[in-house]
Order: sequence, then structure tokens, then C-alpha cells
Amino acid sequence: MTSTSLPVRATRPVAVTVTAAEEKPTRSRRQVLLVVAGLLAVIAVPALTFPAFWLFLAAQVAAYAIATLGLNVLYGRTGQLSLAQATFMGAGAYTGYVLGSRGHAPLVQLLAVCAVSLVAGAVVAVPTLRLSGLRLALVTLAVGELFAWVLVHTTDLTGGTQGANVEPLVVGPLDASIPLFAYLLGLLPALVATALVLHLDRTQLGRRMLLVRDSELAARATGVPIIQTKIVAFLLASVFAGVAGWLYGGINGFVSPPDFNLFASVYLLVAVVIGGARSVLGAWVGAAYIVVVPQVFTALGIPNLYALVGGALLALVALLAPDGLVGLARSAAARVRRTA
Amino acid sequence: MDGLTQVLAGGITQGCLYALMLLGVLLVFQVSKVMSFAYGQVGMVAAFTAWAVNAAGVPVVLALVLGALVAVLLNAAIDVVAIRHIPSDRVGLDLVVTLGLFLLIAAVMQQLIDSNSHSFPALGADTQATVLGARISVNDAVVVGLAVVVVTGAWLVLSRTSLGTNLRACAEDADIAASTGINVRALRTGTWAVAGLLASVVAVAVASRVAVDAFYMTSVLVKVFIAGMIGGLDRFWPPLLAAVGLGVYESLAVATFGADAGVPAVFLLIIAVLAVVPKRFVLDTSEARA
Amino acid sequence: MTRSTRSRGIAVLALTCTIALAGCGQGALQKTGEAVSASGCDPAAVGPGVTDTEILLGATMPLSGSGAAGGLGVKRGQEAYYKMINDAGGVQGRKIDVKILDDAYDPSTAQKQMRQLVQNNKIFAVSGGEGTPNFLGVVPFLEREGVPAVAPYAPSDELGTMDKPNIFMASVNYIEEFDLLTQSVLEKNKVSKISLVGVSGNVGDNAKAGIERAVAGKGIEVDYVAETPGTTDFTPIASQLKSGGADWVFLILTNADTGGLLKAMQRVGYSPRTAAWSGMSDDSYLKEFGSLSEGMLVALETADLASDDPLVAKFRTDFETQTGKAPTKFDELGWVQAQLTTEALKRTKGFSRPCLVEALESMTDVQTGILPPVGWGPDDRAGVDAVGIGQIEDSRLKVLEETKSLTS
Repeated sequence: MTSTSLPVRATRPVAVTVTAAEEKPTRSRRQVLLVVAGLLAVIAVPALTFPAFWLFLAAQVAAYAIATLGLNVLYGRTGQLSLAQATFMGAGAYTGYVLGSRGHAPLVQLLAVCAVSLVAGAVVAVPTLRLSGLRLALVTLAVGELFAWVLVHTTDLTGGTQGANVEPLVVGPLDASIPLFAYLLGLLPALVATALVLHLDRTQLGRRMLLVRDSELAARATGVPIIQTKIVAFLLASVFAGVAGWLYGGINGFVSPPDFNLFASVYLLVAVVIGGARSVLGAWVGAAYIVVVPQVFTALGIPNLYALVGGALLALVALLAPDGLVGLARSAAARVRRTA
Repeated sequence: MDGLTQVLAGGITQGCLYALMLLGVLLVFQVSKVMSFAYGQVGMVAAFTAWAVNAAGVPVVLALVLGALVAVLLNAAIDVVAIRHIPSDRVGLDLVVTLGLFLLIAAVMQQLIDSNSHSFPALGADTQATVLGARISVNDAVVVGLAVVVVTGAWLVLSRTSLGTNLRACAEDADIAASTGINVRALRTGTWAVAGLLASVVAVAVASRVAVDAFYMTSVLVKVFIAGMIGGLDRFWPPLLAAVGLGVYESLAVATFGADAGVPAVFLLIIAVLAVVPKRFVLDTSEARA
Repeated sequence: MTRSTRSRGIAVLALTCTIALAGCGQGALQKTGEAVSASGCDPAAVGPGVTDTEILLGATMPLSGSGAAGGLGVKRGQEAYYKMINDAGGVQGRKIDVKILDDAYDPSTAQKQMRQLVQNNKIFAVSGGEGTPNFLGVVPFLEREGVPAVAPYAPSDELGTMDKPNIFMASVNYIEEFDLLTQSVLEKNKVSKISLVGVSGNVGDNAKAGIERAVAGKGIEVDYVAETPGTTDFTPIASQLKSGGADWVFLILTNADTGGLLKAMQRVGYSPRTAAWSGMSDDSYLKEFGSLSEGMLVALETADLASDDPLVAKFRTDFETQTGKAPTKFDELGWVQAQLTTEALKRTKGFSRPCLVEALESMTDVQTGILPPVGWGPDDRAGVDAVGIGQIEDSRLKVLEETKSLTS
């Protein structure tokens, strides 16, 4: 970054900001145009061309993208390997179901979902603050199994193993039983979540998260409040997942414990890693993968291939392409640009 | 409590199975510094292969040997093909990669055999005698006996033989060990192979008591990890004893609160242990990285 | 907020408004679904899934996992029947194509698969099914979409009534089945305590209600243990049952789970008398677990495969011609599901769903030989009200009482 030589260390920060400020305007303008064009495509193409069934799938992709964005923040940015992201989705989904079935308005449902998710996130964050790696993963796994156990044993409230029929989400004129509106209902919160996570990059919190991920030792040495950062990461992830679960329930029309079990959490991790754990686009790619690909394989008559390909991709991508498919695409594009 | 001996017998047997499996986990972790989520699946491959081959007409003993062989080769292959290529600075990647292998191995077995659950040969689980008020089967006795023999044998090898010294040297510091002429790579892969054998034995024993399908070893592996975390993954006797203790604890919980109590009992335990005794685990340097 | 984020936000808002006003891709704005018989049958209308040469039907059932024995058998039976019909020219000049997807006995998977069948493949109607919890998961969707389902094997007190007018049942619910089963047991045996192990949810609850109805006032204790399908280790349940000390254990679990539980019970040294739902009458169960089930009483819903009823004999010959194998109970079930669906397709005045519903309602007394006489009507979706009793001896099924009507 410092292309000019600066003999005195004290002036380096100044030089850094100067060069950064010089580079920023042109890059960001082009970036904005690209992003807006991408958004146009994302919103308009499905809405204008997809048949009903695929619009409904697109709606689910949007809902899942919120969850993968949350895991992206928790794992991709803060380095906490959580196997409870689907559990948080379940907490949101069932909260929405319980309140919705008692006639409460969507806004009330959303507030409750956020509240429950915050509490759930805090409950999971507390025992895991001093843990990492396998221990963290196992505690989140344990929480997930306990949640599944509670669902199965509270049949009167949640429907138990049979699951529960969720009334389609109706927000104003948008009724989720109509595919286009389901798509919009899923897409709008997903875009908000995307904007939030993109903004996170530019905040001090975002930088602290990266430090916690890369080296807790260095973070502690530079005075980063690790505990706070981890808690915030968990809360962000759990609220995102809770809202995602609520939307999933309202769009899908049905929730049951297997939707939010250990495998669901593993597949969310698959999504994030395959897409690219450090990028927002990666979260979307991953969400699209876990919603669309199983349907495609079922339609082709080879449903088992989904787990096979997913497992292989998770292992291969984690080993060989740590920035996921998006990272691969970006480096390929960069190589093309360089040779061009 | 009526039937306490039965409960204890069942718990100790189950605990011995956990301990045998944990021995494999400990060996691999201490020598390679890696935790493999796919370890349970390696065992499953042994049992499922043995079942399929036996169902096609091969005699049971030969089928078991074939299954074990496949598992040993598989676990060694995982080390050579995947784990060795994990850069040493990417701590925590082992979990993600082995999670992928977990899914992959299960899916491959489902494709090669099928997605159903199958009854496994009883292997002595139906030959029973009543000892001190508890019904014990030949299978139970073999499991406990094997656990004692294998664990003691492992301890003797690790502490009394030159192989053991070499292994412990690898565990301490692989670079220094390599510089003294120890073939670290071979030792590592050998450890994974031995662990594969241990997983096969446990998986076959579990299958003979329940049934075999592509995911049946998952809950066993999770409990084995939990016992390892409680006892300390870098020790020998404490985690293995914790494993046996976990089996007994589970058995007591089920006997006291009913069949449903097993899951909450075990998972609440690990959450409580980690929440209440956090300092022991603060020194863990494995951080999962994106 | 930075400038770029704001401009992005405005772009999003503008675009969304445009789209919401424009409205769009095929069917995107259509509230899918047709009301049942509200519109009446228009012979000229043609519903989804029907062309001049083909009728597309669909179903979901467990083809993998612990319930696979049931689903695989039913699939075989249906496909054999439809092949026979197609070889003979089809129905009303059209061949029948049935698409059967795997739901692994799970309601969530079943719902997703059914959605794919209805909205993506555009099936005309649902042809049968196997399993209660999984089918109950698709019922709200089918009702919302107005898709008729013919004779799914999903015994439940929630189905077979006009609450769910699109679902035409051809099996007795488990309350009735277990009521009759318990009565049979009580007639010949002195019983002090019954333990029931049942699939958690509607299935287990129904079975429990049936048993309780039969033992009402007799001072017999009833203990219920709910089970989650796909459990691998039955030792905890077996130990719990043993300490409960009941002399009879009633079972309503998937075939694989029943076998697993019996094995576990044997291991802990508990051998009560047993009674179970009709799934235990199937060959695949008897072959694998018959030795563990000596003396088990089994409810029967389909005709004895060895019966001399000419209709059953014809089924046996036809099935063997189509598949080269002797049929099992689940094959029989699938066959009769396809038979009832084909009968409705033969009768229907037009190929739209309301017409199919009218045709189904006109089937007031269908003799299949395999099931007791099936009867539906404008206010009747129950179809059948009879159950038989059998017993497992030497790993073979012996019929004690042929399927008889419950109202006699």
C-alpha cells in the first residue's frame, strides 16, 4: 500500500490514508454500478421470467441467504465454527409459527422472532466465549440436539415430529401463497441483510471480527475486546438466522424438526464454505446451492448425489479454494484482466 | 435400585465401546494434531461393507476382516490425500474438511449399498447368561475384555517401546522428531491406519447391538468427542476413563428418567462442564479459520 | 450511510416498485388452487397433467430409511398395475404415467417433494401413498392447491372426513384398528397391563386412543412410549418397557424399527406377548424379523394373499405376469391404490380435478377383493370400515379373522 518510501514510522498512517483516499472514488463508483446492475439482475430476472415453482425456490434462496449471511459473519469473519445456525433458524421459525397460529400480526411476529433470537444467541454465546475449534463446534452441536429434543417433546405447542402447518405470511398486500409475492417477501429482508453485512466491512466492529478470526493473541495484544466481538458476532448470526427461519416458515408453509437439525446446520456450513466464507456474494451462491441443487438432483432422479457432491465440494473447496467458488471466480477474473 | 447391576453392566459395556473409539481419536489427535469428524463414518464403512458382503454370501468372519481392511485403508487414505495437504497454519480446517468427508463417505455408501437400515449379525449378542443379576451377552464380555486388553496394550506400547517413544516424539514436536531420523509421515499414516482398525471394531460391535445404516455412528462419535473433551484430548487415562464414565452416566440417566433422557443428559453435561470449568480449555490453540 | 449504499438502496426500491406493479412470469401472480366441487365438473375443461395421450399422476412415499419396506412395496404394486392398464390401451385413450418420489417417511421432505410434483411436474392427482406422518405433512398443501388424493395409506383420525375433502381414504384409522386389535386380544387372554410403543404424533396418539377405548372400564393399565422414526438404538426403550413389566406390548412403528425394538427386547431379556399394525403382515417383515415375532397378533387391512376369492386370485396372477414375482402385502396395497385411481379415471366425465372428484364421489361400492368394499360419496371420504386379525406362526401369517366390517 505504501508505494512511496517513508523513513519515519510515525508518518506511515498518514500516508496510508492518503493513498487509500486517492484510490477510493473511482473503484467505488465502478463497484456501485456493478452492484446495482447485479441487483437489477437478481430482482428482475426471476420476477419477469421464472415460472411459479422456480420463483418459490428463489424466495427460499433469499430466506436462506439471510441465514448464510449470518454464518458468514460468525464463521467467515469472526472464525467461530458454529453448528447451530439451523437451530437459530428453527427458533425463529417456530416462534413465528406459534404467534402466527394465535393470530398475531407479522410485525409482532418479527419483533418476537428478533427477541427470541437475541436470547438464543446470548444463551449459546456465553458458554462458548472461551472456546474455539472442536470444542466450540461441539457445544453448538449440543445446543442443536437439545433444541431438537425440545421440539419433539412439546407436541402440543410445536407439533412435535409431525411438524406444523404454517399459514402463509401476509404483509400488507403481499401474500406469500402467491409465488411472486413470496419472492418479494423473501428478497427485501435479504437485501437489507446484505447491505448490513457489506456495511460491516467498513466498521471498526468488522475489522475487529477479522482480527479475532486471524489471531486472538494479536487481537488481545492490540486491545480488541474479544469477548464483546464474539458476542456481537453470535447475536448477529442468531438474529439473521431467526429472521431467515421465520421467512422460511411463512413461505414454505410447513416446518418440522428435521428442517433445523444437525444436518441442516452442516449444510449451511457447506453453503458458506462452497460459496466463499468471506464474501457476501458467496453467501448468496451457497444459499442458492443448498436450495436449488437438491431439487435439480431429485428432478434428474439421482437425489443421493446432492449429499455426495456437497460433501466432496466441502472437503475440496475447504482444502483447495479457501475463498470458495466466488474466490475462484474472482481470481480467475483477475488473471484474465491481467493478461488482457 | 432394582436392576442396578443391569444398568451398570450396560453402561460399562457402552463406555468401553466409547473408550476404544476414543483411543483411536486420541492417537490421531496427539500424533497429527487433527480431529476427524469422518472417524465415525470410517467405522461405519467397515460395518456396512461387512454386512453387504455377508448378505451376498461371504462367511461372517471373512466379511468382518474385509470390512476392517477397507476401513483401515480408508482412514490411511484420508490422512495421505486430505489431512497432509492441510497447511499447518490453517488451524481448524481439519474440522471443516473432515465434515465434508463425513457427508461424502455416507453418501458414497448409500449409493453403493442403499439408504436403509439393516439388521446386523448378532455376533454373540444373543447368547446370554445371568451374572450377578444382570443379563450379559458374549458380545458384552468380548467388548469389555477387548477394551481392557487394547487400552493396556496401547499404554504399554506408548510407554515401554521404542515405537511408543517415536510416536510421543512426533506428538511433541514433529520437526525435531524428523530431524532425529524418525519417519514422521509413515508413523502418522500408520497411526491413522490403527485408528481405522479401532473404529471398525467399535462400529461392528455397535452394529451387532442395534442396526447398520449410513449415519448410525454419528451419535457415537459425538459422545466420544465429548468424553475426550471432558478428560483432555492430550492425556491418556483421564479421557478413556471419562469415556467409560460417560457410558455409565448415560445408562443411569435412561434408567432413572426414561428412554428419552439420554440425549438431554449427555448434552446438558457437556454444556455444563464447559460453562463451569472454562479455564481448562482456554489454552486450546485450535481456532477455526475461514 | 455512505453514498454508495444509499444509491444502491434507492435503486432497489425503485426496481421493486416497478416489478410489483408490472407482475410477471408464468403463474407468478396466480393464487394456485381450485376449490373442490365448488365449481362443479365442466367436461370440456382440462386440468394440469393431462394431454391427449397421457395422464400424469404422482405420489410420495418412503423409499429409503426405516420406512422403506412399505414404500418400496407400494411403488412396485402401483407401477405393476399401471403397466398392465397401459399395455391394454390405457384409460379413455390415454396412458397413465405415475411419478413416485422418496419422502423417507419424513413430513418435511414429503411436503417439498409434493410441491415439486404439483407445481413443477404438474401432476393431475395424487395416486395413493404410504405412511401417515409423511402424508399428513402434505395434506395442507394438497387442500390449498385443490389436488385430489386417491386412497393414500395414511390411517389417521384427521383424514377421511369432509374437513379434508380432497383426500379420499381407503383405510380404517388407527383408533378403530387398535380398538379391534385390543378387543381380539382381550377376548382370548387375561391382560393386566398393556404397553404401547408408537410413532410419535398422530399415529401413536390414535393407537393409544384405540387401545384405551377397548379397555375402558376393565381396570387394565395402559402405558405409552412415543418413538421417533429412525431411532437406531432401542435399548433405552426396551429397558423402559422391561421395568414397566407389561404382559402385552402393542407396536405401531415402521417395519425396521419394529425389528430393532424386538431385538433389543430380546437382548434385555423381556419377552411379552405382542400385537401390531398391519405392516407386520408383509413378507419383507416376516422374512427378516419373523423369528422374533412368534405369536404376534397383527391387524389386517388387505385380503389374505392365499385367499380363494376370485378377485384376489386374479390379482395374484396379474401381478406375477407383470413382475415375475409373487406379491407381498405392500405390493397388494399399491396395486389396489392404482386400481381405485384408475377406476375414477375411467368414470370421470372430463379431465379436470373437479370432474375427478365427482367421479370419486360416485364410487359408492367398489369391490376389489383386496380391500373391503370401498365406498365414497358427496359427504363421505372414509371409504372403508373393516379390519381383520392375523397371527404370526413360524414366521408365517395365519389369518384368524377375515377383514370384517366394524359397524356390524
